[in-house]
Amino acid sequence: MLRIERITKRFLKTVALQEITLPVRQGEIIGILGPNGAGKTTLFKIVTGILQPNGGRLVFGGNRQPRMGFKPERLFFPERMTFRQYLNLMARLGNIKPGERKTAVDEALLLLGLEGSGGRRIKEASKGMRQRLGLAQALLGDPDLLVLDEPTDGLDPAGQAEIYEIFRRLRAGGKTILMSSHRLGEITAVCTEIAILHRGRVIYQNRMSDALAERPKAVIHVDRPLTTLRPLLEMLHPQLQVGELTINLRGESIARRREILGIVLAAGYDILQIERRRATLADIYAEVTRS
Amino acid sequence: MMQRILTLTVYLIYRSLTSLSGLWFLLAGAVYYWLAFRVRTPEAAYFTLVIGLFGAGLTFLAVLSMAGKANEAISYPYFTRLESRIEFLTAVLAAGFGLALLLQLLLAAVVLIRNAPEFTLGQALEIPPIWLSANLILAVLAMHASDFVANTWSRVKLFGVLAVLILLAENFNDLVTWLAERLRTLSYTPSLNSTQQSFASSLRAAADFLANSQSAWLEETAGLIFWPFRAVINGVTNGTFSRLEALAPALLILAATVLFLLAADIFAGKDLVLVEE
Repeated sequence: MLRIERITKRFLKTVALQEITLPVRQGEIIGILGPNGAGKTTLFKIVTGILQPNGGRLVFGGNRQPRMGFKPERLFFPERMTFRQYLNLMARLGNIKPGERKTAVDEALLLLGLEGSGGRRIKEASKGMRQRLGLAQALLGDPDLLVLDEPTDGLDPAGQAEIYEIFRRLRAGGKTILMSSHRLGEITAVCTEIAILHRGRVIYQNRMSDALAERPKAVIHVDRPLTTLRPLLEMLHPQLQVGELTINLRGESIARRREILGIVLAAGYDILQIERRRATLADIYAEVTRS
Repeated sequence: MMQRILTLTVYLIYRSLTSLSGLWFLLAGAVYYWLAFRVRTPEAAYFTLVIGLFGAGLTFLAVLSMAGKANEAISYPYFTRLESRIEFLTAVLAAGFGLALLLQLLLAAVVLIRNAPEFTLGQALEIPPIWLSANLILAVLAMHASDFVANTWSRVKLFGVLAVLILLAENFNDLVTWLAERLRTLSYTPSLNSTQQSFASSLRAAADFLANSQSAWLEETAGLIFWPFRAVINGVTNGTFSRLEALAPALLILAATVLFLLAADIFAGKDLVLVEE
């Protein structure tokens, strides 16, 4: 659908993005992660045409710019308008035919759980409702690509779960979503691909399933504190971490689990449990940003 | 495209009328009427020029105000819906121009109802091109002056060039006369005459050249930019337009078109960093 190709963006002497290359495939939900100031919002503003890159280009599939819906991180609305008036305005700008506008607005309100709020003035809305309205305007008109900066900010857990479900349905319908979030759980729950930005560069990108599978973890639980064994165990492998009652194995250290178990059993410890876990996004994020 | 431009135009006018700026414009109209038309019944030329001036000034302010509203962070999602940014730019122009024209016509109507001047048919027909062309060029200049359109030094360059042209058009001969006098005084200083006679005579020759030529062509060229405004004022005050003067409104519209294309070019290539408040 879209290929972000060697995009560079500078603000005076500050480099906000440096040669970012990222494929955005149709039907995927791509989560962009990164600390504050990593360049996520700048990247989104370039994709939506709000900012102009200093270098690189956006290559659109079929040489046609997809119809986009955009939810900025900070939401501002014409406060005196009602929800329905605002969505009508967006529908007009989105080229929705006059006969279909009311249906489209009703559907957007219904989808975001705002069906009873069409006549409510925006200035009277809570933060959560404003967030839903921001998403509703982005979804209006069935855009091909949704660019969502912190889409669930301000929503309660139930509201977040609703939004994730909407994203999954949209994906099933062939829509593409490019989103950012500081909530790693959210990214794990909904995204099919991730990219981690750090200081204006993409330092990691992968399919979510591959990312989680490629960094397995094993945890050995023992019955007594490992104080005396800790120095010996930690010398075996750099990816091995010894806790009070656990031995955490990551990456290649998992291959040495039999040897480790032998040492622990020989020292008189009892093995309570051996867990094999997939890595979490938090593990991956911590690892790649640290390195 | 037309539908999107119309939607944004109506939206900007709505926002203006539901904010304090709409009230300010109405107030400005009332004050202007009180100052310019309260006492006497105007002549036709006075009516045309004074309400024309009001319309042009108000258009400048209205377009600046619309551009200010368009430059708010509310507009980010609108841009992603448009096929081209220029649609928004056109809407800003149309909204400011339309709102100011409405208030200008309102003021004219009040004057016509309360103390109407006597018009010939010819004088009445002169009014629309004069008012519309003046409003349009001020509207486009306001766009260049706004944060919404201006990019880095663009407005400094444009208004700097205009300022230089005004200076040249109004004061160039005075500057040349002053320079010629200075050169002549320098050429007659005793020390220079005794040691560097050839240089002193060159200075005198230059002073003579400047004094005689007065460089009228440069003043006229610089003044050409402002000729349409002078021609309109002359035509209205004289009560009749020469064939050349009759072209002035068309030239103003042409200049406005060129300036709008320049604004569109600047706007298309700039980063939209809208005001978040």
